[in-house]
Amino acid sequence: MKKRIVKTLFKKFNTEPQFQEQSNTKDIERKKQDISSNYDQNIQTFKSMFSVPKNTDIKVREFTIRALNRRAFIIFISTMVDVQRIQESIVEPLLENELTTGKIRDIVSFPIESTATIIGEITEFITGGMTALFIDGDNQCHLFETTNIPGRSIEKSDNEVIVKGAKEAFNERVIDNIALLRKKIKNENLIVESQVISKRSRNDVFLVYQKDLANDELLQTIIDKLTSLDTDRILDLSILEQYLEERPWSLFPTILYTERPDRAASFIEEGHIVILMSNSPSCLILPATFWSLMHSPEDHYLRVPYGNFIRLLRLLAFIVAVFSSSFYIAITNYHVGMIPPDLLMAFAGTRERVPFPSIIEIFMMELAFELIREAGLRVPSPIGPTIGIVGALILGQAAVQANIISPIVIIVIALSGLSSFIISDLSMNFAVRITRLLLILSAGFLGVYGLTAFCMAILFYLVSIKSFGTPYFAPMTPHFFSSKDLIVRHLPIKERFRPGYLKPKDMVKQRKE
Amino acid sequence: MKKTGTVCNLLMFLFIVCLLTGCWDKEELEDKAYVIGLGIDHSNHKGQIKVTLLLANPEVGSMQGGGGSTEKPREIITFDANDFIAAKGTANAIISRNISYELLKIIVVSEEYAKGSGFLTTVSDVQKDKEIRLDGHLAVSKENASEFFLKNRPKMETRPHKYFQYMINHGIENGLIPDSTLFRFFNTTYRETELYLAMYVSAEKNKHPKVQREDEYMAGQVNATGELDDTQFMGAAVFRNGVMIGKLNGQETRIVNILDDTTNIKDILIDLPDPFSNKKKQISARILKTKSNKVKMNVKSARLKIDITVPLKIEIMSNPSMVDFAEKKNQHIVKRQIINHLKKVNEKFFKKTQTKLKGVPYPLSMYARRYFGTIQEYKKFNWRKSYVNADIRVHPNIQIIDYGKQTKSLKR
Repeated sequence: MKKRIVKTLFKKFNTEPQFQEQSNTKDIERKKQDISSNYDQNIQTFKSMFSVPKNTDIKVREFTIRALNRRAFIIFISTMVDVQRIQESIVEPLLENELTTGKIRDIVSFPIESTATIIGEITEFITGGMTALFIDGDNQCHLFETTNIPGRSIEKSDNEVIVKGAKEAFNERVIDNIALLRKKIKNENLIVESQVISKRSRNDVFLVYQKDLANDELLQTIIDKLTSLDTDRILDLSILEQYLEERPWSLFPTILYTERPDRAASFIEEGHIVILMSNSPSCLILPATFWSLMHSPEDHYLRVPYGNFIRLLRLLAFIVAVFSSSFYIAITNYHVGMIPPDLLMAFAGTRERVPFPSIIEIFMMELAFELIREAGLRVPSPIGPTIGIVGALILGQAAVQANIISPIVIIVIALSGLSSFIISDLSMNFAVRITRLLLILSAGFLGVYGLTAFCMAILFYLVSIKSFGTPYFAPMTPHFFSSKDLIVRHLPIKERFRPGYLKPKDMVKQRKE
Repeated sequence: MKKTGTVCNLLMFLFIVCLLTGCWDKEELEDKAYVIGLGIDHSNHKGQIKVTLLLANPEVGSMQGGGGSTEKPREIITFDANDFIAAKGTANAIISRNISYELLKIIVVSEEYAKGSGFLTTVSDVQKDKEIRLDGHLAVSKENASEFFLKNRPKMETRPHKYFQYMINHGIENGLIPDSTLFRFFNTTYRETELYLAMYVSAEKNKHPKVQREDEYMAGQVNATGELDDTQFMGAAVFRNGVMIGKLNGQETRIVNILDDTTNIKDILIDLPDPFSNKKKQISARILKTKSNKVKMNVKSARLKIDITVPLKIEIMSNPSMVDFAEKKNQHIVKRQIINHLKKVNEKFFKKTQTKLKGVPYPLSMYARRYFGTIQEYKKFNWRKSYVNADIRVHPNIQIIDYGKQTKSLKR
């Protein structure tokens, strides 16, 4: 009852604003029609649609096909196509060929050709970099995939650096990205399914999965979710990530975002689904669990003992990053008896001259650390590292000498800050840093008790999150059949199963003889 | 509706969390004055005690280089109070910071006060205070506790907590003082079947100390000269039902520590009579105890019979009569000698506990319990009474693991 009132009130104050907009129903209507067989009408339609003289890089070239003795024109966007190839394999044969077979297919030597009739469809292809050929008296249009978009070449991975293993990273050209995946999985069952997700800028999304592994239900949910998106534009994969997530406000990420094709390929082979998008140098992996966010590809590239060593180190770093500053607050403010006498005396001796309560001290230092970190990112690269080190050192040293901060706090913050860098996933990294601040608050409020209570609440929450139907801590809790690649990993020979929470069509990687 | 429900539940949860806590007593750690030692003495005023607090100054010795202060490392105050809990408040008239017992290492009671009846009620307040940890130690001083703290001026450890930590830990490892934690005190006092040993300390040297064998001293009797602190930790004060009834010297305390499996002794250096000379020469040896005792009792017979097997490993460290231990015969002689000596010493000690102290100073009664089906039967058996008349035999089970470095004897 109360809620209904609140809801109606909310609606009253939050009405959709009305704007004066221009209607484009005429355009939409026109796009649904077929092209006519009349040459002049067609050229008129497309010229007005692409506002030709005004729009400088739309090129229309009229000519006569010698073989058929009919008028024709091609239309393309010169900045997105390979003009040289159009010249060599489309225009020249059409102009010069004298055979009268009557079939365009036999005249044009361009390898990829298709036909279309609906105006809207044709415009889409043209904007995608294709070349359209209209012939007088023909009621269909020929399309050639002449796309050639300039972009970065394949480079080293910048944000997920590893020492051992493949170094190449995704770039902004989705064709390259797909090629990088195909290169790793040479199997005809690897499906690259494309879908247009936004209405105005018509951004392409590619779903990549293994047909004989990925669960159909999971695939269908993702496809449904993608088709249900009702928006003008989604420019980047990282924005799509926010559209796809079940809980966009959640502190913890539920989709894995990576720029490493080797990582994506290994997930595809487990039965995950990967989303690629043009103009995004990365991919999304769904569903993602806590473990996949914590792991690094290097864990598997290194030999088992070394791989497990860095895994345990990362887990330790995770715990240190989350708890060290809040634990310091809790024990120094409430549970002094827990500290060994020598250390306690040292703490008390150095804290004596500091005017602020220790929680303020910690917050000041956390803020300073985050500032240095963020500033270090934004500073132009040649002076970046120096600024970072100088800032940290001088700030720390001077703050201690000015009796604003006690040296212990600097150790605590430096330790937790350093540890947080070990978690390579950017979203997880943010999650850890923000959780840390909340934990400091709760520890300052209620000591170790508050710390534990809040930590429990976080655990409750984490256990309840799902990523496309997969519980966050699967396969540990709830338990699923898997090759137990969680806190420690096993020998590659022993990792015989695909993760059970994905319900893959093929569960066993290698059967026992 | 479901959402409001969850929100309500969350709020309730938060509210309950706040109610449950005892954490509202947040206090910055530099606001406190840490009491390291607590002294309890007899007061001239009726119903009161004289409380001495030894407070550590955190600023001294905690900084590595630079910023060292000229302040004194400790502060000692003595005043009359009803009990040492309320004394925290009174002390604030003198001490600038909040008094805290969280680092309390040692409670020193004067021998005079420990022998009185008021001691048990006074010290029981320890259990009422949340800050005092029961792994602090209890000590009895020959002089007044206030004098003990004043006269105790360690030369090497400026910081008092470090001094007491080292003194107590190493004393227990060497077996010269008992591991007299407060926990043990309350445990034995409530069990009422055995005696409690508190470490015996003194900061006053005897005027004319007798020269005795290596470990047969009490605190204050060791005749050491030089540039040193006069404080000595040695021997034990014996408590029965929370009242001090006697003393044990260093050697007897060692015997108890070796017999008691609940004390963690490390290795003990002792002197044994040399079987190869008649001039009262001594062999020094190191005793290691790695296994627990085996205790057998006969509770059915008219007189309680106790057989204790003590497994010991011994390293011989010196060889005053220059015997060749490579010979099996000599090895045999020395082993026999050690067994006889230990047996004699131990049984003599048990005799003393039966006649003079009328109780056993370590939890031996625990071994008796297993012979009874119910607690009622055990209570009826009356351990205390039976122990006094018991027939106790000690069987040292010796393994000599090292005969020391063998050197050729010098011919004179």
